[in-house]
Amino acid sequence: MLKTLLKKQFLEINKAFFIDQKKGKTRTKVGTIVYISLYALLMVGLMGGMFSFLSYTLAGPMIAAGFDWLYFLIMLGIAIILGIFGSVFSSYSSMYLSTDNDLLLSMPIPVRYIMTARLMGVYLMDLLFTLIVLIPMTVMYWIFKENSFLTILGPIVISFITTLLVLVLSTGLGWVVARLSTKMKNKSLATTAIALAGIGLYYFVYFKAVNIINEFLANISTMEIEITGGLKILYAVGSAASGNPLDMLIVSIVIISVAVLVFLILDRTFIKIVTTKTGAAKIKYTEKKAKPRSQNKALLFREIKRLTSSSTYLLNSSIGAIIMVAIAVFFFIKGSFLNSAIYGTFGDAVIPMLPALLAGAVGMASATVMISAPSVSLEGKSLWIVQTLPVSCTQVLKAKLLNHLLFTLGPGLLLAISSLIAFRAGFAEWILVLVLTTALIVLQGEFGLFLNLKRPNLNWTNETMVVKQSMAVTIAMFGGWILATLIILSAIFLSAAVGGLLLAGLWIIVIGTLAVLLYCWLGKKGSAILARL
Amino acid sequence: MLNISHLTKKYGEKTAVDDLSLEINSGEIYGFIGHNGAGKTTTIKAVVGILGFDNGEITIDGQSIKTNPIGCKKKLAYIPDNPDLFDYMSGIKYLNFIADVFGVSPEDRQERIKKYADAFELTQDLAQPINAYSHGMKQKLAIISAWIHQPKLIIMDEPFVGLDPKAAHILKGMMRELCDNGGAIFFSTHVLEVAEKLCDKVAIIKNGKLIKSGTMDEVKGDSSLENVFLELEDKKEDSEV
Repeated sequence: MLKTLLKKQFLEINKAFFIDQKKGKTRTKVGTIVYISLYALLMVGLMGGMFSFLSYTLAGPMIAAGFDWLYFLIMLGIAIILGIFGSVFSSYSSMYLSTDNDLLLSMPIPVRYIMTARLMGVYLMDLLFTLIVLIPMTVMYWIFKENSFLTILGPIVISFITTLLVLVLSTGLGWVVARLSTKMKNKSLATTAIALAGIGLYYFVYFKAVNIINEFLANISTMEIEITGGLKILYAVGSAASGNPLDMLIVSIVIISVAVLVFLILDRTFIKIVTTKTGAAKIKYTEKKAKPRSQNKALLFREIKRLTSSSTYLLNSSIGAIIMVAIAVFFFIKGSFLNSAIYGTFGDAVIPMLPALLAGAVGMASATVMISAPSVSLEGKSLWIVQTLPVSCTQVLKAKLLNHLLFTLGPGLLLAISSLIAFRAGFAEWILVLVLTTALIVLQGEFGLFLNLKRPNLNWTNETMVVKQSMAVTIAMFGGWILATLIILSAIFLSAAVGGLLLAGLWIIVIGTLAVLLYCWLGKKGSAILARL
Repeated sequence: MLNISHLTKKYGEKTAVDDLSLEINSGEIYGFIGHNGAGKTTTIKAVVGILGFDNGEITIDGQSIKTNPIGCKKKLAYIPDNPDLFDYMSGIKYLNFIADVFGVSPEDRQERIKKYADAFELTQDLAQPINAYSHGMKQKLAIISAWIHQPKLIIMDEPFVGLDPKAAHILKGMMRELCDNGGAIFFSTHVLEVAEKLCDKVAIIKNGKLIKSGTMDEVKGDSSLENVFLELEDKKEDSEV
């Protein structure tokens, strides 16, 4: 029975690989293979390639210097951060908010099986993100280290333990959110605030650990290596990964014990959480005259309401906007940090690079805002409403794009302005950076819509499936990153030859043209697709 | 008001609706009956502009749904068999959204919301989020949203499913009132007694083909609609054998 549930969960998450959502038909074997290969190429080829390069760079010198444990610690830290980013915001909804909860609970299925199947859905996301770091970390270690049974076993055991730790952190926070949100009035905002506070706490712990390592590295040449306090725990984790049997045993026992404890808590509380509908008291209706809105304003209001009423959508799709604002504030206060970091790396050669470099960097951050990419799929079974209203599908798509821009353009431009101030950029740089940033953010929003229209999923049982795990969202994010990377690389390698201002101007023409073309496509073909979904 | 002419809709090789023609005039309540999978919902979805079709023409008040979909949609309201509404809104926000889209004045919408929500005993729940509504409450809200802009034509797919007897009674009254004021209603149902008592005209569809249509007297004569429907179903099956 558990196998059947797991199969169902797996199929739901990976439906896009096996079913053509547009035609509602099962894909051919070749189609499925091509689709999975493309996805693997994206995840393994791009992200995996990036972390393979990082572990290759770190492994050689660190292992040669006898700092195997530090190598593992750095890589494991990245894996945990990435894994938490990948699964923490969706664990609450994946675990407790599926629309088929009632159906499954009414069947003769042990509740523990349902909970385990949901847990495996979260674990799958956790694996997807952590393994792209853990696999290169392990392989590079084996390549650079003289191998023994323990050095082969160590990374495998600790990699598994790391995935468990990420699962514990994600589902633990999901559980806290679930328990607290039942008592809150505005569930969506409360859930968002609690999840953000939780993630803030995790990252605080992470940066504390980074500080301890930095302190250690700063003193490594001037003092005797002394492993004490917080570093002792970190050392044990790194040492376990490098094959120390005692540390391996201790770390495994501790993490597995915590995981079992969390599993038991989840198991005991699962049914109560999914069947309890307490929380806000009934809101009393008071009759009042409504302030009428135009069609376009009403459609935009609907999109904003959709975003802000779902913590899953809000957290996963707009966290990038919050990060952009946070970085901008940091740059406003400590602009000299950015200034010295960039000038320290590139020297005066950075001056012509600035326009494209800054716009590209903002583009990297804005590519994580995924408001438009799942917005068509999120219509779900209520799509019939906009299809039968006297509004054109172009108006509906425009409202979706505007909603994306409303939450992305402001933070993006704020970040660009904070960087421009930090670099004391000239008038021409200001204009070019702001225009290029705007064009880039508009294109990213349109690209998200384009992908979602091409790959919609209207039959989801959990919002997480379309907000986090859909092909449209993944490709939109990676596509945005690739484009931003191209702009940054061109700034580094071409600005001296072409001229910084001209290069940025050329990018504005390219991105602007693409944005206009995509806008036309959305207005004609895109709206025709939406009308017939 | 609604003219369906030689409508044909295919899903791949399968013909869901085959050369179907119907005419619904102002003032008429038109029932559409048939077994599960007969093609009722496909026809209805084509009429309201959700589904494209392969052949034929559909016009609403003289305008083609193919060439002027927005013009047609301004004149109609649709209530599907399973009203999946915007769960993230409250009932009142949903009604105001629909009223905004149709450009209903604040005075008119306030009056109509009060009238229909009071009738369905839904007023006290209007501030609640729709995801807290029962199936019946969602159905009532969908009905109010259809009536809020006083359309000329209302298309409904199994409108009585999920409604309690009192709400069903109120809905029948609203349907008659709309048609008496020059509107028209086209709805599908499996409840033949309701169709028999409520409809001015009825059409029976089987396997995508219209097998009988006309006024209630023309279709059923002295018999009951249920008997006629079952006879037609059996006759067809015999001929198929």
